[in-house]
Amino acid sequence: MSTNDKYIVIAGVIICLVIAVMSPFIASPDPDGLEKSAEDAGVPEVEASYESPFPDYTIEGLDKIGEIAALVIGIIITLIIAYIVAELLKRRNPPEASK
Amino acid sequence: MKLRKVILVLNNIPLTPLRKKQKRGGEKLHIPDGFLSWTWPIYYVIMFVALYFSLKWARKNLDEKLIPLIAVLSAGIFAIMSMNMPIPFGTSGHMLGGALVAIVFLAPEAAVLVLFIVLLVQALFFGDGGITALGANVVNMGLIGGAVAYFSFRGLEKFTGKYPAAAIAAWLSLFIAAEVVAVEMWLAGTFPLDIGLASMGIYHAFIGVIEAILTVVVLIALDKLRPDLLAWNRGKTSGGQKLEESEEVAAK
Repeated sequence: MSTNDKYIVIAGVIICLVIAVMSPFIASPDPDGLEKSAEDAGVPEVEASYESPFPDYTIEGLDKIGEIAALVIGIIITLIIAYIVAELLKRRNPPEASK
Repeated sequence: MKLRKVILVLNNIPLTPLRKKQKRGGEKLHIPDGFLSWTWPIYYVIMFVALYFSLKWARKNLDEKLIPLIAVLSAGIFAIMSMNMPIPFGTSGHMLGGALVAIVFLAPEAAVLVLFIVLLVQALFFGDGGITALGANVVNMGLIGGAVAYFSFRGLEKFTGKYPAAAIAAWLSLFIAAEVVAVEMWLAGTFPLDIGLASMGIYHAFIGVIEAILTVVVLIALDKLRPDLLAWNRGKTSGGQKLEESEEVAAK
């Protein structure tokens, strides 16, 4: 990775972390458009069939800090997975075992 | 769409903020398990076909230097999706980012790839979007969001210039993706079609404005700081030449 490319990763991660820190405070607690539409249409809520480690971007017992931490963890996981996937799929390097 | 249904929907909108059944902050944003009933495998099939094209696109076009950009855009989309924007009518919405990816790489395939990664992480680690609904969520936000943005951008850029075209493309991609969700919900028997189209449309018309602004801001920033990473600055010719050109730009 060139120095220039490192800058873009660093700048991007900083922006992401700023969003992660702000998001639990300023994000709207109202249901989103799909959920609201479901309520308008009277669709009952269904239980998730699968229990994720950080349901709804929260960590059990930790309030805002937990939400920030969950988002930071998610950002880092996404960054790493996307990097690995892109590295596997990159040009002139056909992967034998993709995905 | 019958007007009286729209009025019905509007009448149902409470003046006070909606009952907050959720914990503060914690949000679910994507189609959960159950909303699609029996239709979910259809979207998995479409998703895998789309991913096959993404794979082909990546092998042909994904240069070494674009890897950090893919990673950062994925992380960024993960982050912005957490930011639920309040909009009128006691609801909120989030951005998709698919338009941005499709325009940065000038390839809807890239949007499918990035949104697949983001949505997979969200479904597996955060319970956001059902596992069975992953196919539909990728199809809606990656494939439909990315394709609508790409084709409308390509169609409009000659007439309006790049940034207005990107703004309109971003708005359209979000709006149309939302309306497609309404159709999917109708096919699954979850929402009546008219109510779904009306309410998804109204809410996402607002969110689309935010999506458009964000898409343009990021594009302007990239064009200023790293013009070599934007596909519109690279030649639209064959791969090898493209690489040479982009290296020239990078060298400046």
